[in-house]
Amino acid sequence: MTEEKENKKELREEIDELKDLIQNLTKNQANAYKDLDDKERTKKLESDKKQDKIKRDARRRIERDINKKKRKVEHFIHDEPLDRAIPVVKPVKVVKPARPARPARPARPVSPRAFKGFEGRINFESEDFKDSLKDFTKRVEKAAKEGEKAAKEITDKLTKKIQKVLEKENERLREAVNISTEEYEEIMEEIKDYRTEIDDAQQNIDEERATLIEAQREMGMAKRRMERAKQQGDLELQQEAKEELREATENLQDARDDIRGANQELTQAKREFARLQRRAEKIHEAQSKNGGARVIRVGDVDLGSTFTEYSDRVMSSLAKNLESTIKIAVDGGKRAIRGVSTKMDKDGDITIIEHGGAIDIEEYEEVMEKTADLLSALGDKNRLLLLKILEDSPQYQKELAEETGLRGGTFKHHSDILQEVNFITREAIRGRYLITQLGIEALKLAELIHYRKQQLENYENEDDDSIDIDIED
Amino acid sequence: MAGEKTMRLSVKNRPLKITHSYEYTFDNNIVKISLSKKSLLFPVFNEKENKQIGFLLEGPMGIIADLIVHSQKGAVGELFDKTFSTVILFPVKLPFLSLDHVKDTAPVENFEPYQEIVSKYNRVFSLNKIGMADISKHTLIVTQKPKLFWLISSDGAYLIGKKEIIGRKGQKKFLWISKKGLISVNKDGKYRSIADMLQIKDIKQSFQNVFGKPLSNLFSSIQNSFSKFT
Repeated sequence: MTEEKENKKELREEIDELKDLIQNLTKNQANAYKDLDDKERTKKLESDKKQDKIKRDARRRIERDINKKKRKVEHFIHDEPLDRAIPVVKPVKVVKPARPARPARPARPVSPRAFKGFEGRINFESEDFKDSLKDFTKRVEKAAKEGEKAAKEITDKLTKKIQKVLEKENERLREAVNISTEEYEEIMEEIKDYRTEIDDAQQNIDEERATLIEAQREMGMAKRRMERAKQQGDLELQQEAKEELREATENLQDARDDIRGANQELTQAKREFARLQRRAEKIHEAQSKNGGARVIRVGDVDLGSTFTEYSDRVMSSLAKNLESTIKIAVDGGKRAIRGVSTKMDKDGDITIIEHGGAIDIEEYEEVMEKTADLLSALGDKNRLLLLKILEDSPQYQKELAEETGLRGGTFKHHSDILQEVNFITREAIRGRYLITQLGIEALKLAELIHYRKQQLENYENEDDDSIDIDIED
Repeated sequence: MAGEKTMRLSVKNRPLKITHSYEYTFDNNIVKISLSKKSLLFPVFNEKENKQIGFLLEGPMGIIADLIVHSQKGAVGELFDKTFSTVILFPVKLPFLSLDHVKDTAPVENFEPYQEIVSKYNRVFSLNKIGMADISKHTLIVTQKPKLFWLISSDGAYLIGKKEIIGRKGQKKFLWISKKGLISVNKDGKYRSIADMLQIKDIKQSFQNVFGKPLSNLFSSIQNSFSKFT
């Protein structure tokens, strides 16, 4: 029993201890809670203080705003009650406006056939893309080749067509030219025939005239015989004379008829001849107009042994000078002036070719003034002689004077003119005169014109192909 | 040129005065010079050997030259007529200077410019070894503005400038070389231009025919000397 009591006592003591412990714990807990409450309270107090401060600040701000507004004569009514706590708004950072993005480049239109599977993003390094690119390039090359071939075919066809057309045209022109030349030759033949016919007709007329005269004479004789017979009273004689007179009148009539016929033939032949002549002239004119470049051949001009030696150089420079300094007016003084150029032939002849194109009159006049000064220097026999002598070698004044016969002032006059246009020059120390390159060319020009004139005169005097007719009325 | 030497030139203030103006035509009848009264002649020395080799002429000097010949193509060349204020003359024995033309005079006060002119030359042709037949009959004139080099011989005259060389020998031979081209006229009057001469060999031959000296010797030395003039 006692043990039970002791146990019970121990248990009671333990229980009491536990109770104490529990009390302590609850006390501690209460204290802890109390501490916690105190902390919270302080926190709360602090937050209350903060809130109070915030309120005060807000109140002040609002009052300030109100005063500002009032000063601005704007009524600002703050609807919200000032007691309520204004939520704290953190200041927003000013964010710089973003740059406007560049507009995207417009995508190139791609035919869907070229890029198969062009959907969404392309992987340029993928095998598919590379293969498709290769295919594309191959197709492009093929198309280019086909295009070239087609272009070539087209050009070939065109050239052939053009060639054909040109050939036809050339043939037509040739035929036209041939026809006109053939016709011309035929006409010339006919003219010759008519010429002989006219001559024959003329001869006939002369013969018939002679027979007419003879018949008239016979008639006169027959008449005289008749009269004599009448006077004699011889009837037989009268009869004979009558018959003779009748024959003579018949002959006279025949002769007159023949002459009339011959005259008619002659006039007809003349008419035909004139017509053929006019036709021939027209063909000749047409040919000369349409026949291309009118070549005026100078021919081989032998101006001494020196000419053949340096003919190429001098004549080429001469031709160039002619081209640049001499232009011939072709249209009889009209506004349009055709330029004339020269070119060297293979044989060394100068070919003067007319070509179209009008030039400025003012420029032309200026050029001509200068040219006139140059050419007037050549317009004197003595000056040409001086140039010719100096062409061989330089000379002193004394030698030149002896050869030309010019003395003192006259020589000076001519030499000054030549020096002014730079045809001759003079040494400073010795005083010899020398001819310049320009002087040589000017001299050649003068000689060329002289020989050309001679050649043309020779052409005029030649007998071939000229129609020379004497027609007596 | 063979025998080219590097030497220093100096000029001494012992002038001679030209007593009267006169003209002189060289024997070749190609070049004529005119000298004026009161011009001064200063002796030019080779410093090393201390030997006078020429003169520095201060005073206008006119040079007239007929560098023009007759060819198949007409007159070719140039008529030269210019006056120079200062020239250097070589050698000492000049055909146009004699005691009749000059007399002693007092030294000049401002002598430095003359020394400057002469000091620019540090290469001189050794005339004794120039290879020309008769040295005493050759005259070398070096002008200042423009800088030209005249070589006057008994039968020819050669004008060597920066950009061209013109030479005439005798009555008929002529040569003109420049950047623009080359023209030669031989004794027969045959005219040839650069267009005709396509080979360097021909050019050299033509030069030799006219000048009588190989082209390379003459030209390179002249070029070297003229490089010092600038």
